[in-house]
Amino acid sequence: MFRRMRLITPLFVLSVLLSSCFEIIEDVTVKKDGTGTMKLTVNFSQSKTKIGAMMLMDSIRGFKVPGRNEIEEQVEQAAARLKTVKGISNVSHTVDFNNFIASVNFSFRNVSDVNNMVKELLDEYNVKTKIPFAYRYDREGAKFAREYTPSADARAEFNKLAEKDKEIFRSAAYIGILRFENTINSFSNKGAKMSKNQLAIMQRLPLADLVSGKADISNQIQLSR
Amino acid sequence: MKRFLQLAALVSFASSAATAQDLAYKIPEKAFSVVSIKSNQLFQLCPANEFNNSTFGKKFLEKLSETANENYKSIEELGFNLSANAYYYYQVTDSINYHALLVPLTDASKINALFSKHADSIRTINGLSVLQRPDEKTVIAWNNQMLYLTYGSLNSYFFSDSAHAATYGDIGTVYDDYAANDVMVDTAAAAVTYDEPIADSVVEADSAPVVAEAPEAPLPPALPEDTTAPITFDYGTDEAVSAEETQAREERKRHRDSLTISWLTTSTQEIFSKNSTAPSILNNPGYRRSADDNAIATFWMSDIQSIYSTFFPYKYFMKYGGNFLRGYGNVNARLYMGKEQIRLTGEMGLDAEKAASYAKICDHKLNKKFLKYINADSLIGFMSYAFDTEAYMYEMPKLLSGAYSYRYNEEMALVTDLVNVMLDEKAIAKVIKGDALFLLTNLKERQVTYQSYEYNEETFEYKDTVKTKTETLPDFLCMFSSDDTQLIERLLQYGIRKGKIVLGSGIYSIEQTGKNPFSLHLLIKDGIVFIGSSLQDISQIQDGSFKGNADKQHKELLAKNNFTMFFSPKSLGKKLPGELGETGEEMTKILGAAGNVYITSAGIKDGYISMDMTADVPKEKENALKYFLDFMEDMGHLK
Repeated sequence: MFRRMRLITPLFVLSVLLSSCFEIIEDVTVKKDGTGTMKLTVNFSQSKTKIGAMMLMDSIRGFKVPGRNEIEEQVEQAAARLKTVKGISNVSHTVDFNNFIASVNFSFRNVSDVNNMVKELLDEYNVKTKIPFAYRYDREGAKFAREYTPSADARAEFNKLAEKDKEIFRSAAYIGILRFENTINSFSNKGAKMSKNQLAIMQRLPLADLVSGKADISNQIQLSR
Repeated sequence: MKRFLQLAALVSFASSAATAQDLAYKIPEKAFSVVSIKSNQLFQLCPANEFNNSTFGKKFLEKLSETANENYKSIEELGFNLSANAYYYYQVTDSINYHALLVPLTDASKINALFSKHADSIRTINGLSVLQRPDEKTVIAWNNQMLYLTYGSLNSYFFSDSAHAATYGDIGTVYDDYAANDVMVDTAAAAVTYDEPIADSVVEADSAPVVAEAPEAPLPPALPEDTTAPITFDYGTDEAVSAEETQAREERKRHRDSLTISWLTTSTQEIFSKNSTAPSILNNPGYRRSADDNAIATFWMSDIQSIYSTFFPYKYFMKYGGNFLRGYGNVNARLYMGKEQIRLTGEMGLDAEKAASYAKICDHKLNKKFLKYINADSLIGFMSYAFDTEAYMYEMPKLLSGAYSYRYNEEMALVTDLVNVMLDEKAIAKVIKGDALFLLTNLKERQVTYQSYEYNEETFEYKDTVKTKTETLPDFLCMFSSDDTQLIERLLQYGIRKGKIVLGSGIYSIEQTGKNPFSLHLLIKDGIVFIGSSLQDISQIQDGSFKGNADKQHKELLAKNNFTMFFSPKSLGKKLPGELGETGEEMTKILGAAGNVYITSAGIKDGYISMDMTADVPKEKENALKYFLDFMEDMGHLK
């Protein structure tokens, strides 16, 4: 079923190639007991004129441009698929066709469920790469870790891009937010920033740095007990 | 009197010598398509030494040097006659199709050098140097005057006929290498299944330049088995295919290639021995119409209808009978490169019935009031068309019915009448008269809003926020004539009721949404419906303050043609947004150096429908060819 989602991939590729700006927000909340919620948002609003014009066409650069109904149907199916992943619940999603913003929310029983979900998705897409990131939560030690390994394949693909396409990734932003119930005592990543209430950590960087492996979003976080 | 006769003899000798020099007479009378390159014109515009030093020329010579294992520094070293015409033609027969190239020579010894890699395979046949390349299904031959290269492909349906199969043996087909049950090799005698309407189509098919007999050549011996050239057909790696079957296939392929080469060699000899009085393409009036000495290159193709009969095997063509292109005649195109313009003109012949239909449809002029709304100052381009909607509604069913009339004559006549009864052509033509003008009026910076997020420093919670940014967007103005705007107004009222359209001071507006990147404004005034992206333009048209200043040349083009397109690269280049960065700067430079482009069509003339494309050559460029080469070079440098 998930394979059908590949129809959306061309739209995403096109959106990326033809837009000047977009942002990806990963917002994770982890409770004391290891359960939590995750919200992923892709916001193409800054490029809505170009994407709006693009969606009026049948195909661009050889990619078929899917229609609104097609996108909605595929997103529905994707959400339905997520619900079947072990440990994942409360799946909901929104697609705003006026601003071209899509987001998906879900709850997890354990951070390892999120790792498994990513693995399942990559397997279904036949993406033969190592999982670039994983979450670890040590309830006893109140330690949270995000491990990130830059993918050599992704870097190689990025280096193959034309300079103007690389520029698009440079102007696109990745924002990662990690929220906790306990206050944060310390964190290892110097590029990240802690909120004043000490309950959240945010890291913002150009997507290009993430893909090319220039930036690191790994973080070892020690929480108060 | 004696002197007069001497003079006449001299002139006729000179002209026959001149004719002999031009190789057009070598082209078969029934060629399907012909391309001619006027080398003389070409090298006048860009002398050989300049060509050799151009980027394109260098690449060409480099590639050729690699292929021939020589070191070419000049195109003149190839031995081609650069002041005579070269030709390509395609000929279709029932059994084999030929692609052929005719190149006049000045020095045949240089051709020997060109093919030095294959020196061992070059044979001398009747004074000709002949190089046979069975695996490439190609024969190359030359004498002191001409190089002739021909490639052939056998028509499998010819050999599926049992009589031909008996004559030529089991040569198989390309298709049976792919699928054993391919319908193409169904040897059932298709003729017995033809019914009456099919017989009619046989008569039509006769008009196609299909030569009905296979070349009269003795069956050649099979090619030597130890040929070192690689096999070009990929039979795949299907393990189910037995070794015997693989061997049989290879045997059939050798047989096929051998027959192809034999026929190509025969036709090659015929071409070389053909004299200028023999029937040739020069007997074809359609071809002669296309052959203009002032053109740098010309293209001619026999009537489009014959494409159907040519590319579809007989039995499918006859069985289904449908011929959408019935009534469309030969096609030609000519390319001119002058000092001031590059011009490409194309024509398509129509039969009397089609010509009459199109003449009625094209009997319509653009509304002259449109011209008041052209502002030349910022204009980037326009497109106009003027066709008679009423005539179109009447003629279209007829044009379509013609396509099916072989087999469904009665049914199509019925459909035509039904359509005529159901549609009120006059009423439709009142709503949309059939003329329209689309103007790309400007590129303007605009403030556009987008959604982003504001983060609370205390908690990193975020909320939606609307931000603005500047974007460069095109402005356009479109107009069409209507004598009855009631239906359009009712549609607009419906849009207002549904909340999609807003009416303010007589102007209907559709606001920008995700789906619609422009705000659109619509006005109905003086029997014209205006749709534009600039509210200012539409408001000025409404209150009569719009100041148009159309160029005289544009006015003339719009008034006399049924279709006109104009594009000013310079005007676009000036307005390209800075956000494109370095690429934008390069684009601006290229566009700034490019001349205006026009495409026009003025309907039917002498039974031909035509299209004309013109690009102005900027004053600083010496001529069209050099401008074209420079332009291509600049485009190649774009990142």
